[in-house]
Amino acid sequence: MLRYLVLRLAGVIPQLLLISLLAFVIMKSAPGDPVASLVGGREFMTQADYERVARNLGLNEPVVVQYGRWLGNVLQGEWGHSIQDGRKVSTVIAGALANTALLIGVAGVGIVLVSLIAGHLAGTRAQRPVDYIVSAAALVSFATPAFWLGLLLILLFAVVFDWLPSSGLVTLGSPDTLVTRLQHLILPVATIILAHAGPYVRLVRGSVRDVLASDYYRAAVARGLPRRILMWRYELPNALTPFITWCGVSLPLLVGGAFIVEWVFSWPGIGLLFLKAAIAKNYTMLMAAVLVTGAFVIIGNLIADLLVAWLNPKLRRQYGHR
Amino acid sequence: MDIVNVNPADVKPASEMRRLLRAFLRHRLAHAGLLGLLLITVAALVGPTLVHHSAQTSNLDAIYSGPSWSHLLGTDQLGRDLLARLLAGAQVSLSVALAATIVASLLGCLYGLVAGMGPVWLDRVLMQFLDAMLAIPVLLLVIVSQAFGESSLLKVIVVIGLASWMGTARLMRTECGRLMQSEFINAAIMGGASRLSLALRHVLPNAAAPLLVVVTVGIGQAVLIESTLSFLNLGVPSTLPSWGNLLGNGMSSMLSGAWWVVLFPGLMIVVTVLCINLVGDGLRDTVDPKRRTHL
Repeated sequence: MLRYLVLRLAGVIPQLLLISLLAFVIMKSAPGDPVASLVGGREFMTQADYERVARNLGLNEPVVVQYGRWLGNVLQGEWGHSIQDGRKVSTVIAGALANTALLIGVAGVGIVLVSLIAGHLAGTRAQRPVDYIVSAAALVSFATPAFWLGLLLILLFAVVFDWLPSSGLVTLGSPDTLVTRLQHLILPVATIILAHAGPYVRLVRGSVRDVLASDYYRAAVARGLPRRILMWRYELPNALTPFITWCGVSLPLLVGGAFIVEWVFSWPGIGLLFLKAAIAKNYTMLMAAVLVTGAFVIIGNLIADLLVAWLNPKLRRQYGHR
Repeated sequence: MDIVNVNPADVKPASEMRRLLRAFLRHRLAHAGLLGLLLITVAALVGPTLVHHSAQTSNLDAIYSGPSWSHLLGTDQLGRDLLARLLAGAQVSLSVALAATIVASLLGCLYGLVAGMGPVWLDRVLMQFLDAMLAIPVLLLVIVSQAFGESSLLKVIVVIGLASWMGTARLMRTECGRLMQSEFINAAIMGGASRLSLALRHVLPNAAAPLLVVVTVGIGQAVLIESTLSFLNLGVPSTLPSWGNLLGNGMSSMLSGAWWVVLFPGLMIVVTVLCINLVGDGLRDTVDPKRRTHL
């Protein structure tokens, strides 16, 4: 297990490097001259002053050195200031990260529950009406763009029926209670679950069917074990490993989808920040959002892989006591 | 001819492609998908000439008029006919998706072939890079790329293509690994085939079937990415109607009560991607019967 842990952790390094490189490229490709912008234009500086300031900022050094220094600053939490409103990027990001984590966390739990239940129902009742309904719904879900589903849900529940709020975290001008917070959470979470659960459901259904067709499961049935034990001890644990692997692999997809949903529902998270920064060409913010998202996904992937290794005795033994 | 006297050498073995084609044609849901795609393609090609309205002419007397006989699917915020725009949008959206998928497939095939047939150290490096790429959300990549510089049709195609080659590359690499173990490749190596001819004449054709599955599903994903980008005004230039662009004004249209502006373009996207995925499922089941989806 320790060997596996070390190997897997080593695999994280190139991923983090790539993400940081991407962020650095965004930073460097910001238009305009960083030296001239300090005093409001190139024409206000002499050539000697210009070169002195550029040297002080480290801009005359090779790109590799600049990258190293930038990375050091980022690791120490110095992410600069937003070029739009001058707020500290790290403060803005921290606030947004909490909101995004809440949204993706709740939606993630929802997807896991929905796909396990629906996948179990469809897998154990294959070629029957329940299976057809679940599988058809999963196919449609896979083909539905999240932003469009979000618009439809707003249309239905906020515009036509006026049951639920359509945007934001809280309603302006009304008391901020737990109930109103939950109300604001319902539509975005439902959108993410409905637009993303499809592949997960299909995967669980497939693995459940594989388990049901296997010899050890049939042997367990033949021994007359009660259904409850068959399900909890035989069917679900064996269907779980591919499911968790897929959860890790599909995390980038889910995060990307959640960002668009944040945009549609004006949910003040990383996604909204990122998209606003992209449209306003706010490069410092864009860089920070890319870094945070990348780190979030990489850590999520890591957790999923370690969980699988921990659950799967085969992997444990392979890297185990040798 | 007497059946006993048939010389085994005279019996033509059913070609692999023909066997796959026959199996594919038995797949009922793939039929539905193929039919749907055919209808959508014909509508995109012929449709604009059949509709009386132009996709670009605005009519300020008919802003947000609901579905009626003169405007079957209603009009948008400038009084443009939605049906005409949907059909014109189909041309734009489908060509962008198709072109982007071609870019991604070529790049992915090349990458996978180089990794699978090149030196071992290069394979390691390329696969590490691929794994790192997979950790970045595709939408993040395309949105960042689109945030730089002016938007153009060609740029959208290239950006989507450059952000979605990873699946093809990984598959190509796996297929290389599998095929390089096989007898006929060994025979070709013994026969003195060069690396290049090995890759192009032996590995690539034998990986064509599984590649086709990935490419098919990729077109659907490209439609989704394009629509999301255009919805955010970061995709196809807004002067061109694409399904995503039609939805770009969706929020304010909806609040004006013009539900049709949101509903119909989205339905087109869902139906198209659904049909593409059905065909993809059908292809997967034929290529890899063990992993049948059983629906």
